[in-house]
Amino acid sequence: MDFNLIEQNIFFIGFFALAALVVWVCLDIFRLLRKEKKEYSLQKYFAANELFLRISEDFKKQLEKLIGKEIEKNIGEFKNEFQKTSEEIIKSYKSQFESGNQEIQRVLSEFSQQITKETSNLSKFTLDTQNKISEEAKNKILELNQAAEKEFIKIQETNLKVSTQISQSIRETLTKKVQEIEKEIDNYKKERFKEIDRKIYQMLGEVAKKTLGKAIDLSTHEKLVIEALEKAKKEIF
Amino acid sequence: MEKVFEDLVKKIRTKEELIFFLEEIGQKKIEKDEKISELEKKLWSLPEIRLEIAFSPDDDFLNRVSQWLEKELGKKIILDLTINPRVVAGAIIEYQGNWRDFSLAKKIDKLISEKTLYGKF
Repeated sequence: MDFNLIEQNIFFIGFFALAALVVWVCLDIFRLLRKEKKEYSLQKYFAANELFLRISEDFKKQLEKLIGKEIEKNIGEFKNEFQKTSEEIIKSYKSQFESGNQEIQRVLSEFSQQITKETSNLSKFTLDTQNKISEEAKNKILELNQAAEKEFIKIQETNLKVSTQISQSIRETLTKKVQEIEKEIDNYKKERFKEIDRKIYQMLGEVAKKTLGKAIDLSTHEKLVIEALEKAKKEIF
Repeated sequence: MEKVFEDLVKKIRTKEELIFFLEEIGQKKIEKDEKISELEKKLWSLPEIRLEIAFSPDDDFLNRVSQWLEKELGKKIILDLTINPRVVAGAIIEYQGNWRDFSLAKKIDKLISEKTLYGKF
């Protein structure tokens, strides 16, 4: 497929070169014709000035024929040369392509061998790498396990510490609360005891008043009234 | 008249007796002349001392107290007695707007309040 494309390219290049040659030949003819015309006008000029050189029609025709033949000959030669050159080029390219094909086959063969070798090497390298990675992974896992274990121990220690702190804090809080409650109970007890004492004393007082009032004999009553009057004398009389 | 008044005053020791005497005069319809009215007025104007005591005093004690007051104050004082057992002993005395509690009940109350306050008996 690649060779066909190259051949096609060569053909197009040859075709364009041939076309360019034809164009160039045409232009050359055209230039020659213009030159002849110019010479003819010069002849006219010379004729006007009495220096005109006359050319016969036959000579002119023979000259044109000669020129045409020459041109055709040149074109034919060029054509042949071009064809020959093209063939040589194509042949050269073909041989080159053939040798290139052989070279490619050789390279492919080498490449195939190389690939096999490289594949083998790659397999070996992959296996080695796999083993290495596996080993490293094992080591890493081991390291990670150790690190995790350390972290776990650390966390456990921290937790233990924190739980100890919390426990201590709770114990302190509870102790404080218990102390507060005990204090409150003590205060309550004291208040209650005071209240009970007050009631008892009131009762005792009432009892004392009643019993004393009855127990005290008349002379003592009289004596106490006189003493009260004595005091009143000092204070209000 | 003065002598009658003095005799009456010697006999009257308490307000009760004074009221009783004045009521007697009123019940016997003794004609009220100026002298009697003057006597009543004088009797009512006698200074009083209010005594609140825990027992019923006998005459002897009333005499002693009346005489003691007359001696100490230099004038006749009518005793306005109230018997109140809650006084226990001693007396609560009021004289010319001054009031003092010299009763044993007060001492007991004070003692109890002190003991209650300090929690000891």
